[in-house]
Amino acid sequence: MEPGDPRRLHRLHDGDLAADERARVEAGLSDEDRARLAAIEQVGAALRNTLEAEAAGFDIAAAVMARLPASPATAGVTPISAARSWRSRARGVLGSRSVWLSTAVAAAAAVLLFALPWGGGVAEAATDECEIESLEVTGASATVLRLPATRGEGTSTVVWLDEEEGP
Amino acid sequence: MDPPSRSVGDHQLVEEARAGSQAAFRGLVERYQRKIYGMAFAMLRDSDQAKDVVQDAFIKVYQHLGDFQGASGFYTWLYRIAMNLCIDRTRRAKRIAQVEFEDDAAHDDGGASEVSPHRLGFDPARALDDQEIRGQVLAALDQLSPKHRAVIILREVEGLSYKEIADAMECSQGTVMSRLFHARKKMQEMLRSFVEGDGRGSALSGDRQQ
Amino acid sequence: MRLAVAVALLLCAAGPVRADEPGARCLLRVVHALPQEGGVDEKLAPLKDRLTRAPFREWKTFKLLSTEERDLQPSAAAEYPLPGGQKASLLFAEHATSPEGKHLVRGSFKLEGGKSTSRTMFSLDEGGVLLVAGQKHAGGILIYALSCKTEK
Repeated sequence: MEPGDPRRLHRLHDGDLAADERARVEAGLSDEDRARLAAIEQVGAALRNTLEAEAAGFDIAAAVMARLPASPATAGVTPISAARSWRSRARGVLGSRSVWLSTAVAAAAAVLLFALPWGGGVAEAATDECEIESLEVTGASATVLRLPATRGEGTSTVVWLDEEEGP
Repeated sequence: MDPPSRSVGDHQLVEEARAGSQAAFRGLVERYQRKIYGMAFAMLRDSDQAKDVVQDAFIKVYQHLGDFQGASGFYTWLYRIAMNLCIDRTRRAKRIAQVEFEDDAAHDDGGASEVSPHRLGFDPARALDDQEIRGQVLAALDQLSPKHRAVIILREVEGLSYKEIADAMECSQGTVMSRLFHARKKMQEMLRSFVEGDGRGSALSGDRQQ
Repeated sequence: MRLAVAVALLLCAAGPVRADEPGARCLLRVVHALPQEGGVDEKLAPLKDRLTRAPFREWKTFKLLSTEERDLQPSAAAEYPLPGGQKASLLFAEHATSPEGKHLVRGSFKLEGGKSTSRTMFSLDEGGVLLVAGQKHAGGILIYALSCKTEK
Protein backbone atom coordinates (compact mmCIF):
# COMPACT_ATOMS: atom_id res chain seq x y z
CA MET A 1 0.00 0.00 0.00
CA GLU A 2 1.43 3.33 -1.00
CA PRO A 3 1.79 6.04 1.66
CA GLY A 4 -0.69 8.26 -0.17
CA ASP A 5 -3.23 5.50 -0.61
CA PRO A 6 -6.49 6.66 1.00
CA ARG A 7 -7.39 3.04 1.76
CA ARG A 8 -4.66 2.86 4.37
CA LEU A 9 -6.62 5.02 6.79
CA HIS A 10 -9.70 2.83 6.52
CA ARG A 11 -7.60 -0.28 6.98
CA LEU A 12 -5.79 1.27 9.92
CA HIS A 13 -9.08 2.22 11.49
CA ASP A 14 -10.49 -1.26 10.91
CA GLY A 15 -7.48 -3.09 12.34
CA ASP A 16 -6.69 -4.68 9.00
CA LEU A 17 -2.99 -3.82 8.93
CA ALA A 18 -0.23 -6.10 10.14
CA ALA A 19 1.69 -4.80 13.14
CA ASP A 20 4.71 -3.57 11.20
CA GLU A 21 2.61 -1.87 8.56
CA ARG A 22 0.39 -0.38 11.19
CA ALA A 23 3.40 1.11 13.00
CA ARG A 24 4.74 2.51 9.75
CA VAL A 25 1.42 4.06 8.77
CA GLU A 26 0.83 5.49 12.24
CA ALA A 27 4.30 7.04 12.28
CA GLY A 28 3.59 8.78 9.01
CA LEU A 29 0.16 10.18 9.80
CA SER A 30 -0.32 13.86 9.09
CA ASP A 31 -2.75 16.08 10.96
CA GLU A 32 -5.09 15.78 8.04
CA ASP A 33 -4.86 12.00 8.19
CA ARG A 34 -5.77 12.11 11.89
CA ALA A 35 -8.73 14.30 11.07
CA ARG A 36 -9.85 11.82 8.45
CA LEU A 37 -9.54 8.97 10.95
CA ALA A 38 -11.66 10.93 13.41
CA ALA A 39 -14.22 11.51 10.67
CA ILE A 40 -14.35 7.79 9.89
CA GLU A 41 -14.89 7.05 13.58
CA GLN A 42 -17.65 9.65 13.79
CA VAL A 43 -19.58 8.09 10.93
CA GLY A 44 -19.35 4.68 12.57
CA ALA A 45 -20.34 6.00 15.98
CA ALA A 46 -23.35 7.81 14.56
CA LEU A 47 -24.47 4.62 12.87
CA ARG A 48 -23.89 2.42 15.91
CA ASN A 49 -25.69 4.78 18.26
CA THR A 50 -28.60 5.18 15.89
CA LEU A 51 -29.17 1.48 15.44
CA GLU A 52 -28.63 0.74 19.11
CA ALA A 53 -31.32 3.25 20.00
CA GLU A 54 -33.68 1.93 17.33
CA ALA A 55 -33.28 -1.64 18.56
CA ALA A 56 -33.53 -0.87 22.27
CA GLY A 57 -36.29 -2.85 23.86
CA PHE A 58 -36.83 -5.02 20.82
CA ASP A 59 -37.80 -8.48 22.00
CA ILE A 60 -39.29 -11.02 19.72
CA ALA A 61 -38.08 -14.17 21.40
CA ALA A 62 -41.54 -15.32 22.45
CA ALA A 63 -42.91 -14.90 18.93
CA VAL A 64 -40.00 -16.81 17.45
CA MET A 65 -40.35 -19.63 19.93
CA ALA A 66 -44.06 -19.87 19.20
CA ARG A 67 -43.32 -20.40 15.51
CA LEU A 68 -40.70 -23.11 15.94
CA PRO A 69 -41.44 -26.55 14.63
CA ALA A 70 -41.39 -29.34 17.16
CA SER A 71 -37.74 -30.16 16.60
CA PRO A 72 -34.91 -28.81 14.50
CA ALA A 73 -34.28 -30.47 11.18
CA THR A 74 -31.04 -32.36 10.94
CA ALA A 75 -28.93 -32.94 7.87
CA GLY A 76 -30.08 -35.93 5.91
CA VAL A 77 -33.43 -36.05 7.62
CA THR A 78 -35.20 -33.18 5.96
CA PRO A 79 -37.13 -34.64 3.04
CA ILE A 80 -36.25 -33.00 -0.20
CA SER A 81 -38.81 -34.21 -2.66
CA ALA A 82 -38.05 -31.88 -5.51
CA ALA A 83 -35.22 -29.73 -6.66
CA ARG A 84 -37.54 -26.77 -7.03
CA SER A 85 -38.36 -26.69 -3.35
CA TRP A 86 -34.71 -27.26 -2.49
CA ARG A 87 -33.70 -24.39 -4.71
CA SER A 88 -36.16 -22.00 -3.17
CA ARG A 89 -34.80 -22.94 0.24
CA ALA A 90 -31.26 -22.49 -0.97
CA ARG A 91 -31.96 -18.95 -2.07
CA GLY A 92 -32.25 -17.96 1.52
CA VAL A 93 -29.85 -20.27 3.22
CA LEU A 94 -26.90 -20.61 0.93
CA GLY A 95 -27.01 -17.22 -0.65
CA SER A 96 -27.80 -16.90 -4.27
CA ARG A 97 -28.57 -14.47 -6.92
CA SER A 98 -31.53 -14.58 -9.16
CA VAL A 99 -31.37 -12.80 -12.45
CA TRP A 100 -34.29 -12.39 -14.77
CA LEU A 101 -33.33 -9.94 -17.41
CA SER A 102 -35.35 -8.69 -20.28
CA THR A 103 -33.53 -8.29 -23.55
CA ALA A 104 -33.25 -4.57 -23.07
CA VAL A 105 -31.98 -4.83 -19.55
CA ALA A 106 -29.51 -7.51 -20.56
CA ALA A 107 -28.04 -5.19 -23.13
CA ALA A 108 -27.68 -2.44 -20.57
CA ALA A 109 -26.19 -4.82 -18.05
CA ALA A 110 -23.61 -6.02 -20.53
CA VAL A 111 -22.08 -2.58 -20.67
CA LEU A 112 -21.69 -2.56 -16.91
CA LEU A 113 -20.35 -6.09 -16.81
CA PHE A 114 -17.54 -5.22 -19.14
CA ALA A 115 -16.60 -2.37 -16.89
CA LEU A 116 -15.40 -4.96 -14.39
CA PRO A 117 -11.61 -5.34 -14.12
CA TRP A 118 -11.61 -8.29 -16.47
CA GLY A 119 -8.17 -7.72 -17.85
CA GLY A 120 -6.45 -7.51 -14.47
CA GLY A 121 -3.89 -10.03 -13.34
CA VAL A 122 -5.66 -11.04 -10.14
CA ALA A 123 -9.18 -12.33 -9.82
CA GLU A 124 -9.98 -10.91 -6.42
CA ALA A 125 -13.52 -12.24 -6.51
CA ALA A 126 -12.57 -15.88 -6.72
CA THR A 127 -12.06 -17.73 -3.49
CA ASP A 128 -13.81 -21.02 -4.08
CA GLU A 129 -13.77 -23.77 -6.64
CA CYS A 130 -15.84 -21.69 -8.99
CA GLU A 131 -16.83 -18.09 -8.60
CA ILE A 132 -19.53 -16.63 -10.80
CA GLU A 133 -18.44 -13.15 -11.68
CA SER A 134 -21.50 -12.23 -13.67
CA LEU A 135 -24.48 -13.81 -15.32
CA GLU A 136 -26.70 -12.66 -18.15
CA VAL A 137 -29.87 -14.57 -18.94
CA THR A 138 -32.79 -14.14 -21.31
CA GLY A 139 -35.79 -16.43 -21.52
CA ALA A 140 -35.19 -17.94 -18.10
CA SER A 141 -34.63 -17.05 -14.51
CA ALA A 142 -31.30 -18.08 -13.10
CA THR A 143 -30.16 -19.02 -9.64
CA VAL A 144 -26.58 -19.52 -8.60
CA LEU A 145 -26.31 -22.29 -6.04
CA ARG A 146 -23.25 -22.74 -3.89
CA LEU A 147 -23.40 -26.27 -2.59
CA PRO A 148 -21.42 -27.08 0.51
CA ALA A 149 -18.51 -29.46 0.28
CA THR A 150 -19.17 -33.10 1.07
CA ARG A 151 -17.34 -36.39 0.98
CA GLY A 152 -14.02 -34.89 0.06
CA GLU A 153 -15.40 -32.77 -2.74
CA GLY A 154 -14.97 -29.05 -2.72
CA THR A 155 -17.80 -26.61 -2.97
CA SER A 156 -19.82 -27.00 -6.13
CA THR A 157 -21.30 -24.13 -8.06
CA VAL A 158 -24.43 -24.66 -10.12
CA VAL A 159 -26.05 -22.12 -12.39
CA TRP A 160 -29.65 -23.24 -12.53
CA LEU A 161 -31.79 -22.04 -15.41
CA ASP A 162 -35.56 -22.12 -15.00
CA GLU A 163 -36.89 -21.58 -18.47
CA GLU A 164 -40.01 -19.50 -18.80
CA GLU A 165 -43.25 -21.22 -19.70
CA GLY A 166 -44.77 -20.54 -23.09
CA PRO A 167 -44.39 -21.41 -26.74
CA MET B 1 -27.07 -4.08 21.69
CA ASP B 2 -24.47 -6.29 23.25
CA PRO B 3 -25.53 -9.90 23.50
CA PRO B 4 -26.11 -11.36 26.94
CA SER B 5 -23.30 -12.97 28.88
CA ARG B 6 -21.25 -15.40 26.88
CA SER B 7 -20.69 -17.74 29.80
CA VAL B 8 -22.37 -20.33 27.60
CA GLY B 9 -20.82 -20.23 24.15
CA ASP B 10 -22.76 -20.18 20.90
CA HIS B 11 -21.45 -23.58 19.99
CA GLN B 12 -22.75 -25.17 23.14
CA LEU B 13 -26.15 -23.56 22.70
CA VAL B 14 -26.26 -24.77 19.11
CA GLU B 15 -25.42 -28.30 20.17
CA GLU B 16 -28.08 -28.27 22.86
CA ALA B 17 -30.64 -26.83 20.45
CA ARG B 18 -29.77 -29.52 17.94
CA ALA B 19 -30.46 -32.05 20.63
CA GLY B 20 -33.91 -30.57 21.07
CA SER B 21 -33.47 -27.93 23.75
CA GLN B 22 -35.73 -25.03 22.92
CA ALA B 23 -34.38 -23.16 25.93
CA ALA B 24 -30.93 -23.26 24.36
CA PHE B 25 -32.30 -21.92 21.13
CA ARG B 26 -34.14 -19.21 22.97
CA GLY B 27 -30.78 -18.23 24.46
CA LEU B 28 -29.43 -17.70 20.97
CA VAL B 29 -32.48 -15.67 19.99
CA GLU B 30 -32.17 -13.47 23.04
CA ARG B 31 -28.47 -13.05 22.45
CA TYR B 32 -28.72 -11.82 18.88
CA GLN B 33 -32.23 -10.60 18.18
CA ARG B 34 -31.48 -6.92 18.73
CA LYS B 35 -28.36 -7.02 16.62
CA ILE B 36 -30.21 -8.71 13.81
CA TYR B 37 -33.09 -6.29 14.14
CA GLY B 38 -30.73 -3.30 14.01
CA MET B 39 -29.23 -4.61 10.81
CA ALA B 40 -32.60 -5.48 9.28
CA PHE B 41 -34.10 -2.14 10.21
CA ALA B 42 -31.14 -0.31 8.73
CA MET B 43 -31.41 -2.35 5.56
CA LEU B 44 -35.16 -2.17 5.12
CA ARG B 45 -36.08 1.01 6.96
CA ASP B 46 -39.38 -0.54 7.94
CA SER B 47 -39.88 -1.84 11.46
CA ASP B 48 -42.55 -4.38 10.49
CA GLN B 49 -40.46 -5.84 7.70
CA ALA B 50 -37.40 -5.87 9.94
CA LYS B 51 -39.36 -7.73 12.58
CA ASP B 52 -40.46 -10.28 9.99
CA VAL B 53 -36.88 -10.76 8.86
CA VAL B 54 -35.69 -11.38 12.41
CA GLN B 55 -38.36 -13.99 12.93
CA ASP B 56 -37.79 -15.64 9.57
CA ALA B 57 -34.04 -15.69 10.07
CA PHE B 58 -34.27 -17.47 13.40
CA ILE B 59 -36.84 -19.92 12.06
CA LYS B 60 -34.57 -20.74 9.14
CA VAL B 61 -31.64 -21.14 11.45
CA TYR B 62 -33.62 -23.53 13.60
CA GLN B 63 -34.76 -25.55 10.62
CA HIS B 64 -31.18 -25.86 9.38
CA LEU B 65 -29.29 -26.35 12.60
CA GLY B 66 -28.36 -29.78 11.29
CA ASP B 67 -26.57 -28.20 8.33
CA PHE B 68 -24.53 -25.83 10.46
CA GLN B 69 -20.92 -26.97 10.47
CA GLY B 70 -19.46 -24.23 12.60
CA ALA B 71 -16.77 -23.18 10.16
CA SER B 72 -17.84 -19.56 10.07
CA GLY B 73 -19.31 -19.17 13.53
CA PHE B 74 -22.97 -19.15 14.44
CA TYR B 75 -23.22 -15.39 14.39
CA THR B 76 -21.79 -15.06 10.89
CA TRP B 77 -24.12 -17.78 9.68
CA LEU B 78 -27.14 -16.13 11.24
CA TYR B 79 -26.12 -12.81 9.80
CA ARG B 80 -25.71 -14.22 6.37
CA ILE B 81 -29.20 -15.66 6.44
CA ALA B 82 -30.74 -12.45 7.76
CA MET B 83 -28.82 -10.34 5.29
CA ASN B 84 -29.95 -12.52 2.41
CA LEU B 85 -33.53 -12.16 3.57
CA CYS B 86 -33.11 -8.40 3.61
CA ILE B 87 -31.53 -8.37 0.18
CA ASP B 88 -34.33 -10.57 -1.16
CA ARG B 89 -36.84 -8.06 0.12
CA THR B 90 -35.02 -5.10 -1.33
CA ARG B 91 -34.78 -6.93 -4.64
CA ARG B 92 -38.50 -7.42 -4.72
CA ALA B 93 -38.93 -3.71 -4.40
CA LYS B 94 -36.47 -2.79 -7.12
CA ARG B 95 -35.73 -3.91 -10.61
CA ILE B 96 -33.39 -6.82 -10.30
CA ALA B 97 -30.80 -5.51 -12.72
CA GLN B 98 -30.27 -2.40 -10.63
CA VAL B 99 -29.65 -4.43 -7.49
CA GLU B 100 -27.30 -6.84 -9.19
CA PHE B 101 -25.13 -4.44 -11.06
CA GLU B 102 -25.48 -0.99 -9.63
CA ASP B 103 -22.46 -0.94 -7.38
CA ASP B 104 -20.23 -3.42 -9.13
CA ALA B 105 -19.54 -0.87 -11.81
CA ALA B 106 -18.51 1.66 -9.22
CA HIS B 107 -16.26 -0.53 -7.10
CA ASP B 108 -12.87 0.57 -8.12
CA ASP B 109 -13.13 4.22 -7.33
CA GLY B 110 -9.47 4.59 -6.39
CA GLY B 111 -8.84 7.72 -4.38
CA ALA B 112 -12.45 8.78 -4.67
CA SER B 113 -13.23 6.84 -1.48
CA GLU B 114 -11.21 9.21 0.65
CA VAL B 115 -13.30 10.71 3.41
CA SER B 116 -13.13 14.40 4.14
CA PRO B 117 -10.95 15.47 7.09
CA HIS B 118 -13.89 17.42 8.54
CA ARG B 119 -16.01 16.35 11.45
CA LEU B 120 -19.72 15.77 11.09
CA GLY B 121 -20.72 18.89 12.97
CA PHE B 122 -22.61 17.07 15.70
CA ASP B 123 -21.76 14.66 18.46
CA PRO B 124 -22.59 11.11 17.29
CA ALA B 125 -23.49 10.22 20.89
CA ARG B 126 -26.56 12.41 20.54
CA ALA B 127 -28.03 9.78 18.23
CA LEU B 128 -28.77 7.71 21.31
CA ASP B 129 -31.44 10.11 22.56
CA ASP B 130 -32.17 12.44 19.67
CA GLN B 131 -34.70 11.12 17.24
CA GLU B 132 -34.04 13.80 14.68
CA ILE B 133 -30.38 12.88 14.47
CA ARG B 134 -31.34 9.23 14.10
CA GLY B 135 -33.67 10.21 11.31
CA GLN B 136 -30.84 11.96 9.52
CA VAL B 137 -28.49 9.01 9.96
CA LEU B 138 -31.12 6.64 8.62
CA ALA B 139 -31.88 8.99 5.74
CA ALA B 140 -28.18 8.95 4.87
CA LEU B 141 -28.23 5.17 4.97
CA ASP B 142 -31.12 5.27 2.54
CA GLN B 143 -28.87 6.87 -0.01
CA LEU B 144 -26.66 3.79 -0.14
CA SER B 145 -27.30 0.76 -2.28
CA PRO B 146 -28.30 -2.37 -0.32
CA LYS B 147 -24.84 -3.88 -0.69
CA HIS B 148 -23.06 -0.73 0.47
CA ARG B 149 -25.49 -0.47 3.35
CA ALA B 150 -24.90 -4.07 4.32
CA VAL B 151 -21.13 -3.73 4.35
CA ILE B 152 -21.02 -0.60 6.49
CA ILE B 153 -23.46 -2.11 8.98
CA LEU B 154 -21.54 -5.36 9.25
CA ARG B 155 -18.31 -3.46 9.80
CA GLU B 156 -19.34 -0.53 11.94
CA VAL B 157 -22.17 -2.01 13.94
CA GLU B 158 -21.25 -5.66 14.11
CA GLY B 159 -17.50 -5.23 14.03
CA LEU B 160 -16.92 -8.01 11.53
CA SER B 161 -13.52 -8.16 9.84
CA TYR B 162 -13.20 -7.73 6.08
CA LYS B 163 -12.80 -11.49 5.80
CA GLU B 164 -15.91 -12.20 7.84
CA ILE B 165 -17.92 -9.73 5.81
CA ALA B 166 -16.64 -11.26 2.60
CA ASP B 167 -17.72 -14.69 3.86
CA ALA B 168 -21.12 -13.41 4.91
CA MET B 169 -21.75 -11.62 1.64
CA GLU B 170 -20.02 -14.14 -0.59
CA CYS B 171 -17.73 -11.65 -2.24
CA SER B 172 -14.03 -10.85 -2.12
CA GLN B 173 -12.31 -8.81 0.56
CA GLY B 174 -11.36 -6.30 -2.12
CA THR B 175 -15.01 -5.81 -2.94
CA VAL B 176 -15.80 -5.42 0.75
CA MET B 177 -13.19 -2.72 1.14
CA SER B 178 -14.32 -0.83 -1.95
CA ARG B 179 -17.93 -0.91 -0.82
CA LEU B 180 -17.07 0.06 2.74
CA PHE B 181 -14.88 3.00 1.80
CA HIS B 182 -17.45 4.27 -0.65
CA ALA B 183 -20.25 3.88 1.91
CA ARG B 184 -18.33 5.79 4.58
CA LYS B 185 -17.59 8.63 2.24
CA LYS B 186 -21.19 8.83 1.08
CA MET B 187 -22.49 8.72 4.66
CA GLN B 188 -20.12 11.45 5.70
CA GLU B 189 -21.16 13.64 2.80
CA MET B 190 -24.83 13.13 3.53
CA LEU B 191 -24.53 13.79 7.26
CA ARG B 192 -22.44 16.89 6.69
CA SER B 193 -24.96 18.16 4.17
CA PHE B 194 -27.68 17.83 6.77
CA VAL B 195 -25.71 20.11 9.05
CA GLU B 196 -24.49 22.58 6.49
CA GLY B 197 -27.29 22.37 3.98
CA ASP B 198 -30.61 24.03 3.46
CA GLY B 199 -31.78 24.07 7.04
CA ARG B 200 -32.69 20.41 7.22
CA GLY B 201 -29.92 19.96 9.74
CA SER B 202 -30.49 23.08 11.76
CA ALA B 203 -31.22 21.12 14.90
CA LEU B 204 -27.92 19.32 14.50
CA SER B 205 -25.76 22.32 13.78
CA GLY B 206 -26.52 23.78 17.18
CA ASP B 207 -24.07 21.26 18.51
CA ARG B 208 -21.31 21.95 16.03
CA GLN B 209 -17.99 20.74 17.31
CA GLN B 210 -15.63 22.91 15.39
CA MET C 1 -25.53 -8.08 -33.30
CA ARG C 2 -25.58 -7.47 -29.58
CA LEU C 3 -23.75 -10.72 -28.94
CA ALA C 4 -21.13 -9.83 -31.50
CA VAL C 5 -20.57 -6.52 -29.80
CA ALA C 6 -20.40 -8.25 -26.43
CA VAL C 7 -17.76 -10.71 -27.61
CA ALA C 8 -15.76 -7.91 -29.19
CA LEU C 9 -15.89 -5.90 -25.99
CA LEU C 10 -14.84 -8.90 -23.94
CA LEU C 11 -11.90 -9.59 -26.19
CA CYS C 12 -10.81 -5.96 -25.97
CA ALA C 13 -11.21 -5.89 -22.22
CA ALA C 14 -9.11 -9.01 -21.85
CA GLY C 15 -6.15 -7.10 -23.19
CA PRO C 16 -3.47 -8.11 -25.66
CA VAL C 17 -2.47 -11.75 -25.87
CA ARG C 18 1.05 -12.39 -24.63
CA ALA C 19 3.06 -14.89 -26.58
CA ASP C 20 4.23 -16.64 -23.40
CA GLU C 21 0.79 -16.87 -21.84
CA PRO C 22 -0.18 -20.54 -21.47
CA GLY C 23 -3.50 -21.66 -22.74
CA ALA C 24 -6.16 -23.66 -20.98
CA ARG C 25 -7.46 -27.14 -21.61
CA CYS C 26 -11.20 -27.10 -21.01
CA LEU C 27 -13.45 -30.11 -20.86
CA LEU C 28 -17.18 -29.79 -21.49
CA ARG C 29 -19.45 -32.70 -20.68
CA VAL C 30 -23.08 -32.58 -21.75
CA VAL C 31 -25.38 -34.69 -19.62
CA HIS C 32 -29.03 -35.58 -20.15
CA ALA C 33 -30.88 -36.04 -16.88
CA LEU C 34 -34.21 -37.89 -16.79
CA PRO C 35 -36.65 -38.55 -13.96
CA GLN C 36 -36.96 -42.30 -14.64
CA GLU C 37 -34.81 -44.73 -12.71
CA GLY C 38 -31.69 -45.63 -14.67
CA GLY C 39 -28.59 -44.69 -12.75
CA VAL C 40 -25.53 -42.71 -13.61
CA ASP C 41 -23.62 -43.44 -16.81
CA GLU C 42 -20.32 -45.02 -15.78
CA LYS C 43 -18.51 -42.46 -17.94
CA LEU C 44 -19.81 -39.86 -15.52
CA ALA C 45 -18.07 -41.38 -12.52
CA PRO C 46 -16.06 -38.20 -11.80
CA LEU C 47 -19.32 -36.28 -11.48
CA LYS C 48 -21.38 -38.94 -9.74
CA ASP C 49 -21.24 -37.43 -6.27
CA ARG C 50 -22.27 -34.07 -7.59
CA LEU C 51 -25.14 -35.45 -9.63
CA THR C 52 -26.66 -37.63 -6.96
CA ARG C 53 -27.44 -34.95 -4.45
CA ALA C 54 -29.46 -31.78 -4.37
CA PRO C 55 -30.40 -30.03 -6.57
CA PHE C 56 -30.37 -33.05 -8.88
CA ARG C 57 -32.23 -35.51 -6.68
CA GLU C 58 -35.42 -35.53 -8.69
CA TRP C 59 -33.51 -36.95 -11.67
CA LYS C 60 -32.61 -40.63 -11.57
CA THR C 61 -30.92 -41.20 -14.91
CA PHE C 62 -27.84 -39.36 -16.12
CA LYS C 63 -26.60 -40.07 -19.64
CA LEU C 64 -23.44 -38.63 -21.07
CA LEU C 65 -24.36 -37.12 -24.45
CA SER C 66 -20.98 -35.76 -25.39
CA THR C 67 -17.53 -35.02 -24.09
CA GLU C 68 -15.27 -32.56 -25.75
CA GLU C 69 -11.89 -31.32 -24.64
CA ARG C 70 -10.36 -28.26 -26.29
CA ASP C 71 -7.10 -26.40 -25.92
CA LEU C 72 -7.85 -22.72 -25.84
CA GLN C 73 -5.53 -19.79 -26.16
CA PRO C 74 -6.09 -16.62 -24.13
CA SER C 75 -8.98 -14.57 -25.48
CA ALA C 76 -9.85 -17.35 -27.90
CA ALA C 77 -13.36 -18.78 -28.05
CA ALA C 78 -14.39 -22.30 -29.01
CA GLU C 79 -17.82 -23.47 -30.07
CA TYR C 80 -19.43 -26.74 -29.06
CA PRO C 81 -22.48 -28.09 -30.88
CA LEU C 82 -25.27 -29.11 -28.53
CA PRO C 83 -28.47 -31.14 -28.75
CA GLY C 84 -31.50 -29.42 -30.20
CA GLY C 85 -29.56 -27.14 -32.50
CA GLN C 86 -28.13 -25.15 -29.66
CA LYS C 87 -24.53 -24.21 -29.34
CA ALA C 88 -22.21 -23.38 -26.53
CA SER C 89 -19.23 -21.14 -26.76
CA LEU C 90 -16.45 -21.00 -24.29
CA LEU C 91 -14.09 -18.09 -24.08
CA PHE C 92 -10.88 -18.50 -22.11
CA ALA C 93 -9.87 -15.05 -20.92
CA GLU C 94 -6.83 -15.48 -18.73
CA HIS C 95 -5.09 -17.27 -15.91
CA ALA C 96 -5.27 -15.59 -12.53
CA THR C 97 -4.44 -16.15 -8.89
CA SER C 98 -6.89 -15.93 -6.03
CA PRO C 99 -6.01 -14.05 -2.83
CA GLU C 100 -5.39 -17.47 -1.28
CA GLY C 101 -2.87 -18.30 -3.98
CA LYS C 102 -5.05 -20.73 -5.92
CA HIS C 103 -4.62 -20.86 -9.64
CA LEU C 104 -7.73 -19.85 -11.52
CA VAL C 105 -8.96 -19.92 -15.06
CA ARG C 106 -11.22 -17.02 -15.95
CA GLY C 107 -13.59 -17.24 -18.83
CA SER C 108 -17.07 -17.00 -20.18
CA PHE C 109 -19.51 -19.78 -21.02
CA LYS C 110 -22.38 -18.93 -23.33
CA LEU C 111 -25.43 -20.95 -24.31
CA GLU C 112 -27.54 -19.83 -27.27
CA GLY C 113 -29.92 -21.07 -29.90
CA GLY C 114 -32.46 -22.54 -27.53
CA LYS C 115 -35.43 -21.26 -25.62
CA SER C 116 -33.16 -19.38 -23.30
CA THR C 117 -29.73 -17.86 -23.64
CA SER C 118 -27.20 -17.30 -20.94
CA ARG C 119 -23.68 -16.09 -20.52
CA THR C 120 -21.76 -16.90 -17.37
CA MET C 121 -18.45 -15.26 -16.55
CA PHE C 122 -16.54 -17.43 -14.11
CA SER C 123 -13.29 -17.97 -12.25
CA LEU C 124 -12.64 -21.67 -11.95
CA ASP C 125 -10.12 -23.50 -9.84
CA GLU C 126 -8.14 -26.25 -11.44
CA GLY C 127 -10.10 -29.30 -10.41
CA GLY C 128 -13.27 -27.29 -9.90
CA VAL C 129 -16.41 -27.88 -11.89
CA LEU C 130 -18.98 -25.37 -13.05
CA LEU C 131 -22.39 -26.90 -13.61
CA VAL C 132 -24.99 -25.12 -15.72
CA ALA C 133 -28.27 -26.96 -15.57
CA GLY C 134 -31.98 -26.77 -16.09
CA GLN C 135 -32.60 -26.34 -19.81
CA LYS C 136 -35.43 -28.66 -20.78
CA HIS C 137 -34.60 -31.40 -23.24
CA ALA C 138 -36.42 -34.58 -24.34
CA GLY C 139 -38.35 -35.22 -21.16
CA GLY C 140 -35.54 -34.17 -18.89
CA ILE C 141 -32.97 -31.47 -18.51
CA LEU C 142 -29.49 -30.79 -19.79
CA ILE C 143 -26.53 -30.38 -17.49
CA TYR C 144 -23.31 -28.85 -18.75
CA ALA C 145 -20.25 -29.64 -16.69
CA LEU C 146 -17.22 -27.51 -17.38
CA SER C 147 -13.72 -27.90 -15.98
CA CYS C 148 -10.45 -26.31 -17.03
CA LYS C 149 -6.75 -26.64 -16.33
CA THR C 150 -3.58 -25.02 -17.50
CA GLU C 151 -2.42 -26.25 -20.86
CA LYS C 152 0.95 -27.95 -20.49
